[in-house]
Amino acid sequence: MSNIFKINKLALAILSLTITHAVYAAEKSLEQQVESASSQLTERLQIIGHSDKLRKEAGSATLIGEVELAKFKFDDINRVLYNVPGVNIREEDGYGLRPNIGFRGVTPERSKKISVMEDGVLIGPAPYSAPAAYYFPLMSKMTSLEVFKGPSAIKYGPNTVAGALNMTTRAIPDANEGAIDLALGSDGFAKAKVHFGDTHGNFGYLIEGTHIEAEGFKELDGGGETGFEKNDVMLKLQYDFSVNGTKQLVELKYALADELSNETYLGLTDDDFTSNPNRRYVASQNDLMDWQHQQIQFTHYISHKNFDVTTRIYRNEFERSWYKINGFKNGIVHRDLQDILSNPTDEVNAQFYQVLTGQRDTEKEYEKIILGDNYREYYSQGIQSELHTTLSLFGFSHKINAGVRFHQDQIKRFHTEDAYLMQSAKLVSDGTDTLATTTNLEETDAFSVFLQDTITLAKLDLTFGIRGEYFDSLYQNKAPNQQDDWLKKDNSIWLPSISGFYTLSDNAGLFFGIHEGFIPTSPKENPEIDIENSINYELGGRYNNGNTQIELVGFFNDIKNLKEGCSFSNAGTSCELDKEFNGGEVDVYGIEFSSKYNVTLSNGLEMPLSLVYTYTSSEFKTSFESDFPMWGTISAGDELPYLPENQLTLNAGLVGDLWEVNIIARYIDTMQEASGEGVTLTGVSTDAYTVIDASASYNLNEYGTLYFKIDNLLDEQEIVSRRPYGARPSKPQQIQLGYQYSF
Amino acid sequence: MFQSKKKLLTIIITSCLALSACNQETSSSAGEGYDKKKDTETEFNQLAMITALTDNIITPTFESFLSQAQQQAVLVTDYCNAEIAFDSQEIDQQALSTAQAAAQTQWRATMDVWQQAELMLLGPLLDDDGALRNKIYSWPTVNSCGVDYDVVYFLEGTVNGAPYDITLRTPSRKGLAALDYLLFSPSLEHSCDAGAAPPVWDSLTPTQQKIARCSFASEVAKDINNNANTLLDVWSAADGYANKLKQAGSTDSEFETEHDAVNRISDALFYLDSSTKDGKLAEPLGLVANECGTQACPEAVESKYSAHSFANILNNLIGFEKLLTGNEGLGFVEYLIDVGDEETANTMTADVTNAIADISAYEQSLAEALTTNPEQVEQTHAEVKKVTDKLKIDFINSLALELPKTSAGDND
Repeated sequence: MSNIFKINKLALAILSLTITHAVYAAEKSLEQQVESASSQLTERLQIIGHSDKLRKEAGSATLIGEVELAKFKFDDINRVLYNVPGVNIREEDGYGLRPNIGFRGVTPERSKKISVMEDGVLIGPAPYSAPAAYYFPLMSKMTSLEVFKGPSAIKYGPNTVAGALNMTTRAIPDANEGAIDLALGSDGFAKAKVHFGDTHGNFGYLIEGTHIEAEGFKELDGGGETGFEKNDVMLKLQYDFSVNGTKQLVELKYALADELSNETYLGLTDDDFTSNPNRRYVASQNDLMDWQHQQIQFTHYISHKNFDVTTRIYRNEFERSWYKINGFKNGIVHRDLQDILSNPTDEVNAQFYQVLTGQRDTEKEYEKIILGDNYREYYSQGIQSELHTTLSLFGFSHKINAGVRFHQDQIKRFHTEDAYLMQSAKLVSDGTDTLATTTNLEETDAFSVFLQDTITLAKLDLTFGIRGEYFDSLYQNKAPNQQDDWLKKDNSIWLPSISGFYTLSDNAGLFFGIHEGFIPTSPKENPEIDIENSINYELGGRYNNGNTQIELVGFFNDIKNLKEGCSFSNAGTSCELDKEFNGGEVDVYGIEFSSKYNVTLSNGLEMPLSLVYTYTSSEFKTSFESDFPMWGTISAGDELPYLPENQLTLNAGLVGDLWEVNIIARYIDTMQEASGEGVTLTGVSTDAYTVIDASASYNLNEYGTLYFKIDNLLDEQEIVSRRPYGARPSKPQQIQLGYQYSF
Repeated sequence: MFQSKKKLLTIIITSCLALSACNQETSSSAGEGYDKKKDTETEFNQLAMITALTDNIITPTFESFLSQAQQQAVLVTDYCNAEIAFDSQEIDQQALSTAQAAAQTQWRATMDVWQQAELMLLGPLLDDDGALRNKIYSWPTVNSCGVDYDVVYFLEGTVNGAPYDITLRTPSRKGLAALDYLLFSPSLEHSCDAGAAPPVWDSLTPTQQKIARCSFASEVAKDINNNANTLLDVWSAADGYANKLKQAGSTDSEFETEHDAVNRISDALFYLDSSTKDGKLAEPLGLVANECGTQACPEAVESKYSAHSFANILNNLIGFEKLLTGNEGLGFVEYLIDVGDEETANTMTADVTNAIADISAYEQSLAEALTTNPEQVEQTHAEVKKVTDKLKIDFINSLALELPKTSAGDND
């Protein structure tokens, strides 16, 4: 362990003791808390307050609450996040089954560079060892969603360059409460959601179940399944131990989820997309994702006077098998699927294309189709504790937020491949044995701490923060006779932040922030590969008079070394799986604007309006050549891939006593598919597109609520991405009719 | 009071900046099998070997190919002129046959050199999915029906309303594989499906068909010559790939280390595995899938019109042997001996020699052997496999090299 780490840890320990002492010695006590322990815990699970007043936190943070989520009842996180400024998304399957989310320009690939949390706990399958979020919580069961960027992200690791996304599940109600939500829609869509909870004295419980399915909008050549089924069941039990002035409770959360989806990485040629964007080639007929997720979480909350501590113990288990086309067997002739679909008129590619589409049978060995089963097992477990308190120290009033976490995660890969012949437009096994391709393990033990101290100096609230990460990682090749192929790494890093909020008036203020961010390398990656490290700056203003909210933020991310990794989802088989690449210095900068305004019309109707706009620009600061398929030969000044320059979202609604109509329009600018020269998708961009979604609901009083929604009102589809293999469409128009009954 | 607050803030901000300045540490340990050594540890002069292989073997092979291609263009044109002269009765059948035989012989000589160059697919021959290589020789992508069409297009001078330009045509309609068909096909029938005959072909007289084919063959031979010139230009230019190899490890070089360049040449040797062993022997033998299913398939041989398949394999082995031994210069054998693996050096050298002897002993074509004596062809396959088995394991491990990316789909 480094001396720096030891010294800093010692300093932190002393500081912690001082704070702890000060907590109990504080002369000034807060007002008597009147909220229940359960309500207080809910606030701790959900970090941003719901208050209509001006938020004084420095740093960009966005909350989408239950009321807003209920407007459109989106099951796709992507559609929800278009309401958040500074978010860049690469859509993939149209349903958001495996989202690609980035903030402020970081790569959206499998959301691997942001910290994804559920109820304040890391929810990615293995956030340190394999951060690609192949598991993503079911959006339908979330009651709120928060996005943290800038210095506010420093308390959520490990990925602190971009920010964090926290989703909150339903809280145990204080009294008897339940609801049923049933919906049917086009493309065989169906949803059934039910929850019931109650609190009897000190004991509370909640059970919630969700089932979603769709037949899918893709049309497989020759017929076949292209849809999905998802199930999620959650149980929460809670006991309140509060006595006198001490609020205390424990909560147990247990959840099971699974998914079966006939999803593929195989897209289309541009010409085929133009003819029918929803076509799927016959070579993907066997593709199937099958996963199960299990979650158990124990929470303890205690508050007394001016402090509270929330402690969580958690374990998430995830296993997945994705059997899907990886490409051709190759050998004497070698072409990957991206090549073939990007340039199908090349005569060699044309031969492969004919096999892919079933127009021609496999004749040659190199024309055999390889299907891979990327079976993986993950776990993620740990214990974390977070303290909030206020105290007076050294003549200042301090608002302290500190936390500590010990986390372990692991991924085991058991990847195999099978060879198939295309015969009469059907995949037929060639009879050879299944071939093991990757069998390995990566795991990490991580200890992290953070401390944020907000000091009030008249109208200025200054927040100093620091995050420490110390983690040991192990990579072990588990293939036969490969026991000597292992790597152990010890890493430590300290990440400081400083931010401030200056109150101009009761309704307005200015804020700034500077923080250091980092993204760790995978356990397998060579220690010579640098971590991704950045200094991030933001400056903004906020206005809120209760009816109008405006926030404008400018940001500048000075990334010292951009890092990228090769995965099936971003590069297919055209680079070595999990290999990481250095991209050198990169600047990402932009403006985020969001505003909300509520118009009260003369006839008593309400008209909520909101506008979200993001401008983002980026540039590599150095020239270099890279084998990473999204980069290629980079010249200084080239822009990052999959980063739209302009994004605009407009929400408008009309709300009566019993009914409500909402419309949301999004514009997403073009995105480069690759940054530099000399790679397959050089010079290729996605099209700019506008999507309009609409929803309406009618309250039948004691008989529930009817709702109707149309996603993609204009029914226009564009290419949202050409990765990993070929063009993929946005979701076509989907109509949904639902009924919700609450009791 | 204000002063003390200011002092404290200063301390906090300074601490933050200090932490930011030196805040990261990584230490590691690894097993012997992790990130296997990227270079050998002896003092062997790898750059000298790269230079020797480049200057003594690869560049001369490309130069020889250009020379042969130039001669081929001349002799194929001469042959076509002879067809025209024969048609106008200016020469007799004997003169025509002599001209035709000379063109065919020159094609074989050109092909022999190219088959050695196939073991040297580097730099410009790999760029853009091997575009330049495919223009010269597109195998295994061959399309005799496409060639038939281009014979007619060339005859008419237009294709799809535009003037015919052979440089714009797809590789399988030109190059050495097209010449195999144009110069050696015994039939003047087109090779397309009955319902997809090339326009006007069947309305031509046999003499017109012969002249049309040889005229196009002449154009193809000239195009090969032009591409051979291009190859040598881009290979030998000051900033060409030959110099890039020879400057490996220097500042601004494409190759960070000399060993990286050695690895690139090693990648090229694997042609013997994927193409020679698998594509030219295993596939026609039916050991892997072919157009006949999985049985011996004379139709699946390379250069089937000229029955030149064994010669192609022989020259692949000769090209491999030159790079392995250095052809009396510095080669991989010396490198293996230097790192202490004399056994692999000797075994591979002997195995290549045996495979060459085995191939040379055939007195029939591969297509005939597949029909009459497939067991012997299987033995030949086994002889070549001995070489590639050593290449894939002992050679790679002893010289701390990486397997080429494309070897992932190994058939063995």
